[in-house]
Amino acid sequence: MRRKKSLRESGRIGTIVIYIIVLFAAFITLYPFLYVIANSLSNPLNVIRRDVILWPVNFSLQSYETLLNQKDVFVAYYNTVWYTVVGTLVNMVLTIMAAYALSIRKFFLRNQISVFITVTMFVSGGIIPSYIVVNRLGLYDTPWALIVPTAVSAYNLIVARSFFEALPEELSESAHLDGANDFTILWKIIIPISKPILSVLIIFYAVGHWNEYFNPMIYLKSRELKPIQLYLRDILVANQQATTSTGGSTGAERQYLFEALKFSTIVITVLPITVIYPFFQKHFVQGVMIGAVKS
Amino acid sequence: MQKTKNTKKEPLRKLLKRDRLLILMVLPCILYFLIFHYVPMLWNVVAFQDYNVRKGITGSSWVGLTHFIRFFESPYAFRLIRNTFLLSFMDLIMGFPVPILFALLLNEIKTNWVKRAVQTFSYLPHFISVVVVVGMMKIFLSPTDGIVNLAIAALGGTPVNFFSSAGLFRWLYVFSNIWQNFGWDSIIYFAAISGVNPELYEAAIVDGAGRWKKMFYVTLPCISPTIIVLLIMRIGWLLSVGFEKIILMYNEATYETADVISTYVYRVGLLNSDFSYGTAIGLFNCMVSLVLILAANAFSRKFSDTSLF
Repeated sequence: MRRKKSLRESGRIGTIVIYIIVLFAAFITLYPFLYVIANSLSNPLNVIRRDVILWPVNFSLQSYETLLNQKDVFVAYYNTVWYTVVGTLVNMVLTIMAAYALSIRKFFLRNQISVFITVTMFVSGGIIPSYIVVNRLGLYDTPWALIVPTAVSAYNLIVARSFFEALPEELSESAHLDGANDFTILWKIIIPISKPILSVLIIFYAVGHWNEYFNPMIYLKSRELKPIQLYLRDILVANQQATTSTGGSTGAERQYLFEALKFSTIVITVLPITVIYPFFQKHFVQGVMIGAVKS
Repeated sequence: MQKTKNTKKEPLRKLLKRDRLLILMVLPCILYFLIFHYVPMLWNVVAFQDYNVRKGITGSSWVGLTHFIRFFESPYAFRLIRNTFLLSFMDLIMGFPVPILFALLLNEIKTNWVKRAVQTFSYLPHFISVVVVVGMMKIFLSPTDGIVNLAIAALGGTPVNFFSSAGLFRWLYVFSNIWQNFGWDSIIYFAAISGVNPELYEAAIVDGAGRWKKMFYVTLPCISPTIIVLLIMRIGWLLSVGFEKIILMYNEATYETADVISTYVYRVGLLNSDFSYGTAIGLFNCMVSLVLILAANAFSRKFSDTSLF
């Protein structure tokens, strides 16, 4: 009896300890975001005085009003949206077509092409040779420098191929007998039943484009082509106030508006992704599992 | 087996005709990998030249291994190789166990909505760009008004200038990586844990095992194949440090611990336009990582019956 009781008691203490650790982990993960949001919604004067810890102090939308006056932010944001939409579209079209072709078992070049693609996951040309190639193709300082050199990810391609391979073969075979060609089969049969995995790939690709800063940094020179991540790098990491004009009459005012601007810019950059990803959460497991098993 | 033999006997022309649509579908992809992955591999020959953009490959003079020798004789070579290995190694040792622990602990939480909510939150940092992560670190760790230093000052300590301290760089890099990835990396362990046969737990309960015993003697052994495969993969990728993040984090004051091969390649090759020298160092880096991947793969094939390829 006694032993049983102590066991149950230690179980309860264990539960409490586990809850504390897990909730602490959740808090650590979330706190930076809460801090940024709270600051973006506070009076800029309180922001610069570092009064804000977790909750907005003297609620104010001034940080966002300052943001609205930043022409650079609008241009950069529009660019990021464009790169993400066009880039993901190109990614998906190329990935789905190739993944379908490579999932057909009787395709006579299947193995050779698969090896050809897999090799690139382990051997890369390196930063500088890639840079030379992109430049010689005339892509430097054009929007396409962010689309074409990242047109397909070998990893995502393999995930899609593995998923298509696992679909019952009879589906496409019976359609073949009915006289449908491969494009029709892919469009009418395969894509509709693969929506979960395709939505995961869209997320992976889109987040990649949305968050990209290195390629824009080395391939784009014109200011009007730069995405929001480069703008953020300038104000957050390099702390370059010179690239922005926050308005404000005095130097001090400009300084605190600039500080406030940092927070609202982070919020608008992070928001779209954070709103979207939880909806696809249940599909992530599948995407990650296929990727880990097959690569 | 039989099937492949049959297809091999068919004449190529007939196969090309039969699979023409499939070839058409995969063609853009092939062109992409050819142009943006294989052609750059060939361009590595500039590592053996004094490449001049105007003269091109054919016009530039060949210098053999000069650039490699120059690199190994430079005072930076040792520092770069050491930093690359140390940074990735620390990241591996400290970062690898965290998602496993997190998955094990979260699995013990029986209140479903708490479990779900924590899981969703833990993925969040994975979707955030390195620019935002490093930017937030700079805000939090600012020596004058960062919240961390305000807390240190409130506790009577002296403020720390985190980003100019070479001694702290690796810790900042590793801990921010853990923060960003532990949730996402735990997905796969969750899947493995949910695949454990429930009868094993029932048997363990009959034998009088408590929570921790079940964790150590049932769950952990059951997911250990997953752990081993992922560990081997990580070892294979050991040298691909997150140089995009380092570029945002480091500065002259922290080069001593922060500068790795790929960041040096970036500075030498792209910022100073010394293409040949940069390519040579990059090629060396690529060769070492290839050896690591092949070794990890061979090791894995020998000891765990699983291999990456």
